[in-house]
Amino acid sequence: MRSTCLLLCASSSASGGGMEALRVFAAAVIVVGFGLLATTAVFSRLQRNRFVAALIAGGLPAVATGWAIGPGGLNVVDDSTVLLLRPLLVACLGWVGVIVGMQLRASLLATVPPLLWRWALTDSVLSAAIAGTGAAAVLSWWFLPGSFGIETALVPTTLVACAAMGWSPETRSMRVVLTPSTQQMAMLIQGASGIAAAVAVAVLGVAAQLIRLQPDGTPVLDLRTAVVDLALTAATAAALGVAARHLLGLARRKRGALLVVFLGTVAAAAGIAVDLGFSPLLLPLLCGVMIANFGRERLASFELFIMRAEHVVALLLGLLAGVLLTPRIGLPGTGLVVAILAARILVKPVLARRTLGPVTHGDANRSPLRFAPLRQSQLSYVLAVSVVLAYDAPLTRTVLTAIVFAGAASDAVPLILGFRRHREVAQERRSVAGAEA
Amino acid sequence: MRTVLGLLLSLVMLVTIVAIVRDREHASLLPDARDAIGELVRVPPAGLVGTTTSAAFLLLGAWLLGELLARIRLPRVSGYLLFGIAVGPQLSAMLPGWMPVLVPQEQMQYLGLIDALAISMIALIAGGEIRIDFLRSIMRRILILLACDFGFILVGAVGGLLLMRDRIPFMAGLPASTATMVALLIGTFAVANSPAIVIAMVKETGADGPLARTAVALTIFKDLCLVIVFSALLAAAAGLVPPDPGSAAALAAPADHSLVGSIAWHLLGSIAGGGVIGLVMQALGRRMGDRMDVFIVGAGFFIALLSDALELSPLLVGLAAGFVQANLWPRSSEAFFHAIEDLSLPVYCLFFAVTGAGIELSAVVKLWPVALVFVALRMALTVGAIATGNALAGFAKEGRWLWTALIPQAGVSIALATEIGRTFQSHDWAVPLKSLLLAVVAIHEIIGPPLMRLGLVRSGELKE
Repeated sequence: MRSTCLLLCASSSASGGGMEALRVFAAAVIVVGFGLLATTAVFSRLQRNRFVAALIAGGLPAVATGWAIGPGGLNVVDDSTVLLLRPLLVACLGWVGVIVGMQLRASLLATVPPLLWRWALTDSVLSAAIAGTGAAAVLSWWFLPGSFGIETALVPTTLVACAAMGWSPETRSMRVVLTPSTQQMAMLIQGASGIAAAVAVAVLGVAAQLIRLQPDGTPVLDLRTAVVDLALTAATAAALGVAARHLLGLARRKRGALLVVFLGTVAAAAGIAVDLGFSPLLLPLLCGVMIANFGRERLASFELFIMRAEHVVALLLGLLAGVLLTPRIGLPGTGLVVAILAARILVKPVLARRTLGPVTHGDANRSPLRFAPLRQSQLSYVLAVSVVLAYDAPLTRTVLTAIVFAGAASDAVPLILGFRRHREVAQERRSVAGAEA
Repeated sequence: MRTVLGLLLSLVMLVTIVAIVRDREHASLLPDARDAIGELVRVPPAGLVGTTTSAAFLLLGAWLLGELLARIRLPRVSGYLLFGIAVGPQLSAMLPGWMPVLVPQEQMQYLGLIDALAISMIALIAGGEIRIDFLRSIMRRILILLACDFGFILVGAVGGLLLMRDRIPFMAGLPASTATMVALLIGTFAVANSPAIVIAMVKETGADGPLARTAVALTIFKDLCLVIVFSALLAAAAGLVPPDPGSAAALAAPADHSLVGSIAWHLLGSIAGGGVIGLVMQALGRRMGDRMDVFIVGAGFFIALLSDALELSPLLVGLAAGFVQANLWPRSSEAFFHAIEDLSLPVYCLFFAVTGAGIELSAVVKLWPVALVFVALRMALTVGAIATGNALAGFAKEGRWLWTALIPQAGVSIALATEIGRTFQSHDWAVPLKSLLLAVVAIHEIIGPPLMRLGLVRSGELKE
């Protein structure tokens, strides 16, 4: 009880509001309810169903709920609420960055087969080239006359390019028949997706740091400053990473102390990055790399501990992406959607077939799993949210919306293909059973 | 020794990193900044951008200093508070050029948002500590101690202040009725203590015994009574001393029935709401498995936001929710309370560090002699009140050091001081009075936790 009821009465009448109170209350119910739903055993069971898994993998339910409660829907969460939650959301971005970085453990990367590296990197380069070129063309047409330049277009273009990189690691909904071959395909798809995710975060982070914003909002590209900034980012990440490892040692596996160290590191990495005008994902990513690779102590219990909240963080960022949506994207936004989808359709199935085909002795050509890389990763929303939080303008919100729309569209096609193959297999089984009878 | 050096080194490194970051901070955008398609950029308010770093800094730094102090047998809570004081905006404002601004003043309002969440979690823990059979067994004791505490401190403080009225600068020359009302407000303030510090101390030290349990129950019940007494007093003060238009007292004055309704809603609504939340949490918590910690943070947010939206007390809502779970389902709620104890450390670190950062150091520097007299008077009255209460309740032996738990002051006392200052801001006496009260809180925050630890050690409920 921080204040008396008199104080509360006064503040409530002064701010005009019962409606305001109800608004906050409704938002709390929806957001907390959503978070709770995600942590229930019922939800875990539901995820075993391939239809639900396919729907959830792209993060669309969270985005749709965010849109429903945001200014575009019921307006229970508006821009002012998002502003108030900003410190928490920045920490969530840091969480994602650190988790992605912690996957880049040298000992783990050494076990990755060259095939997987080749697939992930070729896909990243080709997808980024196609989507980036498309995005640059759209932006050059959309920007005010004389505004288009590398300074203004670099971050939005790279964001679109990074959204096209990689894919959703979810494979359950596409695995119609469980064979050793499909299991191997699923593992390869997940592995390459992880590498591509780290590449996307790093590329966007570096691009964001090349550009400095003047106080009047004008972006400036100064390579010398950018190099210094990158060095400063690496140094800060190294210092934080080393400090975090040292503090983890001091925490001595006490859960409360571990939580303090992890929350503090994640929030510090993302917060410092934002304060210095850097990407809130790159510094935490490098910090995660340092934590994973520095020191001899095993981090298994620590990793398990931080993974537990992973999907709650993903849900929160998905909700935020929904709140920030501006569905009237017009022709420029549609152009960006087309650029992303073109990159996905032109690059992903071909590369997947070429990579998976020889490994699975041709099984890949029949399995719907070869279309799994068509689906956009949920990380693309996180990348877009990080850009909007750093520079909240109609331009960045339109790019975010385009990425969400492209994600929704990319989810639908392989889902349909998967279900069709599922029906075919069921039919085959029935006919075999009938023949045997 | 190696650990102490490690802690010190980490602390220095942390402060250095944040000092460098503050020095190189990115300039914020101007409000009329536009993007490449000519649309306005939404610029976040000053102070909001750096809040994430400050929260992380306070969390890590408070934990490190708390661990350091624990090595020299001082309470960790003191470490959390001291770290907040050391890096807060007040100290850097007092030592310009000497002390870098590590947590700017404009961030304090955003860091304050953590308060409600922290209070909800602390209250959940406290509610779980209160068992109905224990409460029944000590109810008589609590009522006697409450009566003695309120009686002694109110009468003593009011009497003392009225007697010395001509020597207190801001009270000299006030009409008798106004002086009495001011003395009563100060007296009520003197009764207040900090359930949050008491609960944190008991959990941190692991003290278990009649003194620790009575201290938790007594401070919580005192808090409940204080809401009623202070609200009624503020309304009465509004009748005697014309309040400022728009202030809380002015709004409440015309309709006294609404005041009764507000108090009833605040107390009963909070307890009933907390009870319902406790039932829902119990039903949901059973299915959480190893995700209990995420569930608890969500529940803490829910209680904080619900209390804010429905004008309830997060402390009472949390207390009732914890109480219902611990008493209706003692076995199945064990996992819940076990998980919440793990989570309590970051909550305590951040909550007390933010509280420390908000301490009015300038008031302490300016008014320390008067504030020290006030602190001594309050301490003497508390010792007398508890000694009398213990004797009447038959708790003299175990409760000899109970008074030490009633010395710490924090959030509630700051709210009372701020409200007095806000309600009567146009009166000459309001500003110096508020400063004095904030200086007193600052001293109590610093001396309270070590004193309580000493009391727990002396009573034998905490082994050195």
